[in-house]
Amino acid sequence: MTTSTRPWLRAGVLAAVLCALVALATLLGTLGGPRLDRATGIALIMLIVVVGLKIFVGDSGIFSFGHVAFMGVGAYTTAIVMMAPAQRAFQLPELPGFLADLELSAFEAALLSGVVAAVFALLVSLPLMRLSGLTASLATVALLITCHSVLQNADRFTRGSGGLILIVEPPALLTLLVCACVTIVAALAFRQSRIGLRLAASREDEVAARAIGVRVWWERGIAFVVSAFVLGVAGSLFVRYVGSINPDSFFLSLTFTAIAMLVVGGLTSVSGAVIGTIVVSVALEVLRVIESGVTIGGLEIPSRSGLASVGLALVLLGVLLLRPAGITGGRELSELVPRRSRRAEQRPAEPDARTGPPPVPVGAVEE
Amino acid sequence: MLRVEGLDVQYGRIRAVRDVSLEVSQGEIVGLLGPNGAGKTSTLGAVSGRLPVAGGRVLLEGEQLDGRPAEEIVRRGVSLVPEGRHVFATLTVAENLAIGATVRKDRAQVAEDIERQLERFSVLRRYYRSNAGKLSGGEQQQLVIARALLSRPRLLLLDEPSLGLSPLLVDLVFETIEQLRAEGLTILLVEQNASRTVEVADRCYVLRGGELVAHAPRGDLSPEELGDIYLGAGER
Amino acid sequence: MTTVLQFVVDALTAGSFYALFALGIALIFGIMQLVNFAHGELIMVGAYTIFLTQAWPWQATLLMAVVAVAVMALLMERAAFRPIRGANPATLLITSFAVSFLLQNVAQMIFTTLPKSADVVPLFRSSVTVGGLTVGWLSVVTILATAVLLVALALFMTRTRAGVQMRAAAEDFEMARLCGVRSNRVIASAFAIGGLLAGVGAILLVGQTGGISLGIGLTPVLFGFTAAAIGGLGSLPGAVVGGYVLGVATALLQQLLPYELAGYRDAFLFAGVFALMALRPGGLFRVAALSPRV
Ligand SMILES: Nc1ncnc2c1ncn2[C@@H]1O[C@H](COP(=O)(O)OP(=O)(O)O)[C@@H](O)[C@H]1O
Ligand SMILES: [Mg+2]
Repeated sequence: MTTSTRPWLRAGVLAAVLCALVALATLLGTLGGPRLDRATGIALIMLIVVVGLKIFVGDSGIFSFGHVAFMGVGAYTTAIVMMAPAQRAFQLPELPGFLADLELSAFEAALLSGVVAAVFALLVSLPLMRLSGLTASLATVALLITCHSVLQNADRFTRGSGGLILIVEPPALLTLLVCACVTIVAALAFRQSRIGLRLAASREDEVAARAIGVRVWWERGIAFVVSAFVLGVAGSLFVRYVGSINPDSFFLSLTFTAIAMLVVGGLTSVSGAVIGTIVVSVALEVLRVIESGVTIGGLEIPSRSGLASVGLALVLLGVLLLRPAGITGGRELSELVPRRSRRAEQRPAEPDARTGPPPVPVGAVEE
Repeated sequence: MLRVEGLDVQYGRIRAVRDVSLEVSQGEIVGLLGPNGAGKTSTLGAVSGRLPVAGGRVLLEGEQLDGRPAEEIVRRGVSLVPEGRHVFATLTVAENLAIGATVRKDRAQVAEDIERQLERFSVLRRYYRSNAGKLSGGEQQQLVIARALLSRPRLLLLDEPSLGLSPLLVDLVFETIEQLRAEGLTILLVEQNASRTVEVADRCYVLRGGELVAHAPRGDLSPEELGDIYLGAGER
Repeated sequence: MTTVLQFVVDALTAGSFYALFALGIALIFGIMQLVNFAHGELIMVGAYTIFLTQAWPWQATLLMAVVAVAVMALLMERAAFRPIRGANPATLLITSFAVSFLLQNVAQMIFTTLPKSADVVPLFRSSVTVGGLTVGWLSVVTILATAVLLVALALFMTRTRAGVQMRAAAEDFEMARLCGVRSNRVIASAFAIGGLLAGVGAILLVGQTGGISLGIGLTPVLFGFTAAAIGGLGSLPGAVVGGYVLGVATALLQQLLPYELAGYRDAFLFAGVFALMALRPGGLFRVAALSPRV
């Protein structure tokens, strides 16, 4: 392999394009009043979550259902360390002494949240990285449930299912936008790094990757910890932005939304993560408007809670059935631009095509 | 009986079989030879419906087979004994044989047929109630052939039935093939053991790199010539 | 002595519940590598069917619940899982997650999030006292009904043609098709049986609490999935043993955990499962379905 700077150059251009796309979407989001502002802020945080999730899932090929737990860890960390001491004495009277008087800045709290989530991920990854495929995915489900249960019961730190309230200045949209762009750049840089390339090779063909010296568990572990750090930071931003959290905030519903965004966009590329987040966020916002009751052309649609989620589930099912590799087909935008000589070698295989069961004959579905 | 016309088989973007045409007539044993990776298993896969047909046609007595699912093709009388002895290890020998008769409607005849197979392969009677996973390789091969025969196929597809067997068992497999021919069964036989195949087969096709490179009636291919083909020396 | 007996009854009751749910999950997994997260919504459908039909004679209500769940299971298979059959297990899992989310929110649109209640068989909530040991009728019914279902399922799997075909398909789906086993039929049967088990589970669950909510299926499906994983996903005997092992484990934790930690019971269980998966990925019983296919 030549030590060309070309891949880095292309990644840089791609990063610029994706960031511009996100900035444009954010700008459009600010044109619609306070309600849309808030939705835009949440969407930017989800973007960080989904791109962070992609860092592990997209390159390792292992689907994680447990990442939202890292977001929860980050959010609770920030809530505890940023809370005003008076609030803390009221909400969490039994907190150990060294935590009782802390008052960190937003930046320090975000960093700490990321680090705590990453350390937690490191501990979890020791057993987890031994696994692959479905078993690993199922273990992450067990992880999510365990964390949820702990958050519900560790009253001393979390106030149980009552949750915590954090009254601080919420991050500005611009701050969220900058964080989202930094995450995109980081994810693209990780993908181009030695470890990222090795990891992607292991997703394509684990056996062959091992043969060229990829340890797989090592590369996966690093990606896992890095992506947990990103999710921890996202959790920190989340709790500051929404002001209150409880264990259910970081459970199945959020997991589902994040998965839907990643799968709809295409889970093996950063472009997919970004586009999926934008598309699903817009769709969800439209559905929420309908859900709260609207009149379209004289036809009155009554308010029905649950409708937005039904719509989201249908969108995800539709994509899974009709275009399982997602809108982008799992490719980066830069690969979609026709480039005669390079195209064939750069095009990634369908995700996991090789680990699935043998191809099903055309007429597999009998009538 | 079987006509394959211009068959293509693909795995994703990899093409394993290209433009292969062959024919098997009623009562014949036709050999399909070729080195490892030549596309023999893929060809049988396409005929049996195990793999999708990417191009060309597969006809059984004029009736189109390609595009039909495997479970329909076996109902039309084509039974595959795949490479590598796929017994149902957690099922008993008896249950394995019963699965072989899934497509049969004449329930009463099935018991008789099972009895006939147990006579042909007597080890199976001894382990009739044991799990098939406990059988040795050779015994499993016999079970798989017996199971395939229980669907009363018109055409039997055998993929490397002698692979990994001791010489004694290889003899048994080829004897069984002769016996089946005598019973009027039509067989398409894929083998690595070229010399034995040439002996029993009426005709042989040779595949290499996914393409048909030779076709010869019995006796027309000497073992030496076959050796050449395997080594890639002689293009006929 | 009575504490020991009480413990045994508790463990068996919980274990029976888990075994019922685990079997449904293991059955589908064995045959199509699908971890059906939406199994929980089958239980939900059963519970709301009971709610809707509670004015009927109780026999009719119970029958209707089981039928409705089985029909729902078949619909689910036909509409969502058949089109992506053969996709990799992670995609299948995500699909089942989506189906679960869909059904739960459709139910929310119809029934709202307010919990409902139904009191179908009042007997379920009374108890008998035998020699100092008080046992709820529900426990008796749960243990017996599960035992009957297990025996019936075992007979079906070994004595009928459809059952043997199902076992063959679970071991090697492709080879079973080459032998002429019809994939649609065998998968639909597996879903119907899984639905039947979920329906019975829903009846017992509603009988236990009298309450019906949208999330009623979540805990059962998680425990069922855990039990199935303990037994080695896909193995039917494994699922049953896993269910009872989990029953004993929960009953033990209930007894042994100090008061302050009692709330952590589920955390301990799932952390244990996480550890078990890492140390013995095939479960306590190794199964072919999880090892890589060449
Ligand atoms: N599951 C598969 N995926 C991708 N390529 C395959 C697969 N099976 C076989 N091939 C390729 O197809 C070609 C033909 O294989 P096969 O039909 O098994 O040959 P043979 O049976 O003659 O040894 C080989 O080059 C092999 O590498
Ligand atoms: Mg072969």
